[in-house]
Amino acid sequence: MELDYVAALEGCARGEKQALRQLYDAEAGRLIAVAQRIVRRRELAEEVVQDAFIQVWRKAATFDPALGSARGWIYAIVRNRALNVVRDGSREDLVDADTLDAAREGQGVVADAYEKLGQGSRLRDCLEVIDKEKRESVLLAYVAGYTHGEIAGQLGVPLGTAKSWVRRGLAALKDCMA
Amino acid sequence: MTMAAGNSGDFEDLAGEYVLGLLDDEARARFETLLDTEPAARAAVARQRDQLLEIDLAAPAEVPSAGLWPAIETQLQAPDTTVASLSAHRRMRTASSAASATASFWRGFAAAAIVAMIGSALAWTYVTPAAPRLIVVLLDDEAKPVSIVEAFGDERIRVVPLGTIDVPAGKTLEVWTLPDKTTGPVSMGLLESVSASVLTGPALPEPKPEQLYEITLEPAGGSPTGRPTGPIIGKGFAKVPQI
Repeated sequence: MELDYVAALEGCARGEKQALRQLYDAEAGRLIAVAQRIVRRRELAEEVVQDAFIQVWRKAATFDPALGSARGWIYAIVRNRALNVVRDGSREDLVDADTLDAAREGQGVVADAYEKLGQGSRLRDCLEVIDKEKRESVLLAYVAGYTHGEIAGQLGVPLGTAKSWVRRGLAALKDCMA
Repeated sequence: MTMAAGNSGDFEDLAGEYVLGLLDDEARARFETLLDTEPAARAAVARQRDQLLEIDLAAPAEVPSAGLWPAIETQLQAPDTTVASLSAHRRMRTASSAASATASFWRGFAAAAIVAMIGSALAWTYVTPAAPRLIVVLLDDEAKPVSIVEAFGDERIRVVPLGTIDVPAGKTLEVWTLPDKTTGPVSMGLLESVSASVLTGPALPEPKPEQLYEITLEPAGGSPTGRPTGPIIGKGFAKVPQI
């Protein structure tokens, strides 16, 4: 049976640990995968998800359905935690710092995430018709957690171009999905 | 230009950058203030967030480590044990509540058990004159604490091993930090013995919260490459002690 995410958050807000456990059972594995696309390392991804569940527990009462689905809210918390970790400069593995080809990894992560979208997916259809560089810009930000600067570096264009590709990519996506 | 509040088109770009995590701290804070007052901005966030969520939901689920839920549960039940700081230590002693948790590194069942150990190390810190700007608890790959590093905001750090660390003959322990991604890992020095030691590293920017510190096992005399080459004995991220 599909979990009622709003009811689970309400349970968390009332201090019912079972409600958090339901969310954990339903989502923790996928949240780790999502966090790992950004922080890359499995143990960091688990730390991100651990922190995120504590935040879900504490902030459940502040969930606002006007900002989207309950599930989307939970994923946004994980995304923000993961971004904090990488923006604080701890994405690099000290030991791997010399060998890590961060750029190639980012594009691999994006290609993989794109691939996983089902064939019948409207979102996938829409992503397919957007210009490649705009699609890549949006996905590098969303999936791999890249900044505008990192997108610019990755795609070899000026910062302003990267910013405009992201905006135009999102706008094109909106038009297509409408 | 007129104020066009209510036209969701005006918020689309910002909402998109917000959902993608592209806004800097200041812009994000400003946008969140806007979200409180502008239903159209909330609607733009909701639409974009739920639209892109499909990408996340298509990710194949990993199998969480067996210790992950217990670690979460421990933090729910015992928030007071989650802050590696003197004030938290004092709070625990007075059994007061309302601690704010920061310590994602307190993982697993170990949390409660290790508090006493950390506490004694911090008590030792407490009687020494200099107050550290940052404290790092270095964990091994089983999330057990192996050492504390205290950074004083200059070139000096104090390393306090928590228990014994096996150092094979011909090997030495080397302490590293990662000031930023472009600089890469920098050696703070070698631990001459497995005991509390003050090391003086090279001149670096003042250490920041969440800066990575780690100890690796290297050949005697230190890493031959100037970068970590050996296995990680422990690592952790700097936290601000609430002294």
